[in-house]
Amino acid sequence: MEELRTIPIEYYLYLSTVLFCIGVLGVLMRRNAIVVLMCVELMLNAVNLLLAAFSTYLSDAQGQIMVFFIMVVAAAEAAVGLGILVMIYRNTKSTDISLLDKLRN
Amino acid sequence: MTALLIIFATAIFVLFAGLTKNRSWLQPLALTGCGLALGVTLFELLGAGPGGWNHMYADMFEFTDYALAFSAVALVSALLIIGLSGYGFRSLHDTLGDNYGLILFSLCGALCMFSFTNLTMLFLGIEILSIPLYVLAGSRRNDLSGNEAALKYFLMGAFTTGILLFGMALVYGATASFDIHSIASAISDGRHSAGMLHTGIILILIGLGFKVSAVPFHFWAPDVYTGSPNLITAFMATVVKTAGFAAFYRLFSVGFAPAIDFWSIPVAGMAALTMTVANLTAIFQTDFKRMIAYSSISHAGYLLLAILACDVPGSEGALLFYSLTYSVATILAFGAYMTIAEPNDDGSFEAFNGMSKKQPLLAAVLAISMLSLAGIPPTAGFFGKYFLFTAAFAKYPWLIVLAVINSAVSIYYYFKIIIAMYFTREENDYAVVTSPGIRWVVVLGLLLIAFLTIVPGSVYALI
Repeated sequence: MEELRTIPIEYYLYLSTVLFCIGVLGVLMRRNAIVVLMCVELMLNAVNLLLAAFSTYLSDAQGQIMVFFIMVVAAAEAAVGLGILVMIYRNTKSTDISLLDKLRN
Repeated sequence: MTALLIIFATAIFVLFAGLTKNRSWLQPLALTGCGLALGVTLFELLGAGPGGWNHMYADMFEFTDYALAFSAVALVSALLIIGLSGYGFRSLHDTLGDNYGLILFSLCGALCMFSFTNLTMLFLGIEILSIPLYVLAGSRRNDLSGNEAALKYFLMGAFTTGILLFGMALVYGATASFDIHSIASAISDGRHSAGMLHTGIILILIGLGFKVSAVPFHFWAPDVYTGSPNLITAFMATVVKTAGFAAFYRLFSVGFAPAIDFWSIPVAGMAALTMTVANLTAIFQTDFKRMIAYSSISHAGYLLLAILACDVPGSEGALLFYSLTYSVATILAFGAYMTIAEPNDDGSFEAFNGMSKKQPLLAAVLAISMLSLAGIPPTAGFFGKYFLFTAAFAKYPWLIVLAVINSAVSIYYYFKIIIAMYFTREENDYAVVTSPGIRWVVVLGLLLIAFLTIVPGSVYALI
């Protein structure tokens, strides 16, 4: 534990913030639904990193337990999301989200 | 807690029962489960009395009167929606059991969101509520608009979860706990780093703002509501909204209560924007479901007032009463809408022309629910708005003035439906197809609205 803390907590905070922002930008800018899904996973992993770091620095296990829950939920979410993508690909032969604008008027 | 277990067991049972050849008993089974859970919840609520707490799992659950009362609201909404499902799901065959199972699983998530005391539980509740709904939104597999709604809902939901979780991680880093009572005491003791805590609160606010579709995070809602199957839209507009607001209120009134001076400013801005933008956009809609989507966004604006007034006694009761009246009126409106829009494949306001002559009962129900949503006295919706506005008036008089003006504006678009049904000369030859199930739900819903209109205090004073 002690040697882990030689790196200041701020560094972890900066790293996960940067990762999180890359994820957010990817979700907002990319048009391929699979890449968007990957960016969402990047956001969740940034959170996991941050939680694990806080957990170590606070000497408190709650943060690491939360990481397990997030991983489980992210897997469930990815399964449903890929299922939806397969359904859309069968109907439109594309995973480009900008094609899906029928509902906007 | 009992209700949660009953709903969960019913969901699994329905899921497996859906594999059998005979699917006619799936709906009665789901209804029985919900009815039983509602009965138990009401018994606990009335029998245990104030302070009869129900702690579970190292205090991660806390079934207080607050949680029980909101569970009852969600269960009543679910009962009415499943009651309508005999009609709404009539074209589903193989996947009928899955649909009921997913609705019930989603309901489990809502019950977790009412009773959480730990942010982990809140996160799990939101996900258990949302993931089945992503599937349900796309349950018509060959329908392109349904596909689009499912993908949009999924991407927005997953994105929001990321933002919410980053906020939770920062709050955890600042206060060293996920428990909302410990967070509150850490904030009031000053044992926290302010920058991290405030960023965390803002991110959680954005995340929950997306979930309850508050402006400026509402843009997904109209598309998703329009593209999803009608029953699922009704579920999103009622149970999901109630769960979102109950969790929002609980988190901010308990966990972040000591930081109220910090978060009340953005929440007040969000409330003002939500009411105004949603009502002004709703005026220009010509499609019933899109109008209802904007109407539900505008109601989110009014409900945010309860969160602003969370330190005023009676704001919990106001939130509860408003959620119940709003949910019942919206479900009744959807019940009446389905009978005309689904068989004729037309959701515009013109489809309702002359409905008062074809189906006097359904037309009257739709009219009453529109009046209730608009908040015209003496309907139940008026009392809902009255309780909410009086709770928030002392702190935010300018917001209440804005809310009253907005309510007046909303009368315009709610009356469009009533005018089409009762006062339009041009008629159409649309058939109105009903079923006994719809009539039962409509009569039950009307009795509930009548009850809320005659004795509003009975629900308001429950918690």
